[in-house]
Amino acid sequence: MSLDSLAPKIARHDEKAFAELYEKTRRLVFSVCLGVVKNSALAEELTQDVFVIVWSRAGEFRGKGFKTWLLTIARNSSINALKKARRETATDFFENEHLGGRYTVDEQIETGAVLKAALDKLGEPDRQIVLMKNAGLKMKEIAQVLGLPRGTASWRYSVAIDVLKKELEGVE
Amino acid sequence: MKRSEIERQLKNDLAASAPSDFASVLARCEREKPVSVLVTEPVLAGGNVGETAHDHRHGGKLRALAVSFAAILFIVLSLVWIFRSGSVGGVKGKPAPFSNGYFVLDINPSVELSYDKNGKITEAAALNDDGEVLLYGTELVGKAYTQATGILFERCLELGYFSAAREDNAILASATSNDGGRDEKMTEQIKTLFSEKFSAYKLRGVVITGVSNPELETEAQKHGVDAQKYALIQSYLALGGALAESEYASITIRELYAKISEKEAAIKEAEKLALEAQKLVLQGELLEGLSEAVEDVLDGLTEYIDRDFGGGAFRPADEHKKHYYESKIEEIAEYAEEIGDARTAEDCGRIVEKIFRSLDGLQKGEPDQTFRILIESAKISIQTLFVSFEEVNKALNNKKATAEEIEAARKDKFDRDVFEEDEDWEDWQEKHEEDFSSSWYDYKNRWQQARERDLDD
Repeated sequence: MSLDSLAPKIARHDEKAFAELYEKTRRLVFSVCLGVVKNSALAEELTQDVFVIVWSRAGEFRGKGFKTWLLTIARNSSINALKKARRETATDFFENEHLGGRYTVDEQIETGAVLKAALDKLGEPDRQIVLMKNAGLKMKEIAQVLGLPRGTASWRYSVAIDVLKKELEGVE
Repeated sequence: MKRSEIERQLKNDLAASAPSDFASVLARCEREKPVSVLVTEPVLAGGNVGETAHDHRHGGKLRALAVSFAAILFIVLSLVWIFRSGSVGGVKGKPAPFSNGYFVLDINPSVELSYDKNGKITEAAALNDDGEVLLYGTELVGKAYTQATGILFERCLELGYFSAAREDNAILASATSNDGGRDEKMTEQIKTLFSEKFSAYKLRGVVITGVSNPELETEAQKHGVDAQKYALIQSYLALGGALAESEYASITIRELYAKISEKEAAIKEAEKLALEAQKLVLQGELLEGLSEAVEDVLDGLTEYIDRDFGGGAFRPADEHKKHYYESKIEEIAEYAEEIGDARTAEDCGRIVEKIFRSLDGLQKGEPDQTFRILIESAKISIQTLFVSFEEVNKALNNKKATAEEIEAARKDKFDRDVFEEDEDWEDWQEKHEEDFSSSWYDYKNRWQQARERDLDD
């Protein structure tokens, strides 16, 4: 079943439809959250938050593009979480590059080397583009979520992969 | 490290890290009020985002349907005696010619004739659609049963239910008296009438005068019904129908036929839908396979760019061009992905055209000869894949026609059967009655299986 057709069912709190949505999009949502917060534990929590929001607000969705709507919620939730973390923590441990800061990577992150390099070495929006692309989003969809021209997103992806390649070859 | 390897590892890392605890999510949904989050970024225009509408597709193989031609015709005659109070015979002082009872017959077409103690038809009713066709314009009420059966026989000939080309013309006739016992006299009368008709018209036909399956008889008696009715009930149950044992005696033959007809129609419709669904799934699998194959071809181009473009030694100025090519191939690869979501072969064709135009754009004016040759080779590979897909898809669409052709061939085969002229007509009838009468229910099953075997051949 297409994601757009799941939306009205989820609005009626159909658990089967919700489970289908979760299974089809959990990696995408996680990758979006992780791309923003660079912390897998926080990204996991945010992923859960996103689905709870979708459960309660699916009725507000209209038309086509349920996936983009979902991922926009994921991105906004993540950005809000960062802002909150910034306000609450004594040290500037998480700073959103959009707000002029730099990211540091959670050292306890349990990820592979490539993912770690992506989180550590790539800036915005390259990091998000790389994660979303490899979580299964098409470039057109990534461009829509991030508000970029499609060509720019493709270009940035190509550049980001080169950066990762150099980083990983340097490590090897 | 190759680009494809980086991407593969990223995919694996993300898959491993992503949460998968749906139960916790659901528990939270039921427990908590939602967090308020602004969804301020508009969904940009531009057609479908994410997955396109996709038919739910199932796997499987197309199977021809069994044919339900009337290879055997059984006329249902249900003769119901009407008692007149104080009067037993038709003529004062003379005994009535027949005992009270009814004929239970099976199937296609199926009609029910009620008649009085003098054998005059008082009512004629169809038990199924073919029965309606059979009775149309016949005006049997008021006629003697002998005349009525003659009219029905001729009508069956006209409509093709009996045919000289068939070996399997048959009528089931069995009279049952109102007290539940078998009325042998009436049964013999019907048998004689139809046998004579078959003989007069030189048709190979058998009159089945009852079910002589002892097990069936025993079971039927336990339920308080005659064996034919019990066999009919079993037919209905075999189709997936439900009938409480307490209803066996009370349900009428007419009601049983109606239920059987409904069930058969529903099964046919469901099978038709299932075949269509299976076909769609298979087509979907073909498209996905084509999509993946095309993406693999394009991966070859990406690898070349990654590894060998410009002689393998990238100068800073070349990087710009390299990223340009990579992003263009990325775009083409997304077209390839769209193939998997195509609804029809025509849609697929349009996407492949788009891919070719994009590859032409890349190839035009490209100074790197190796790259130009690789693009050309990619185009040839994609064209070959698409042609193969079209051939398989065409064969898939023809399967439906093949099933219909098989049905037509089956009918032709029955119509073209040649009888052995030297076989004695009476012997043939006797031989086949023994085969047919073991159990009406078994008989139907055997014919059905024979049809299915023919269709599979």
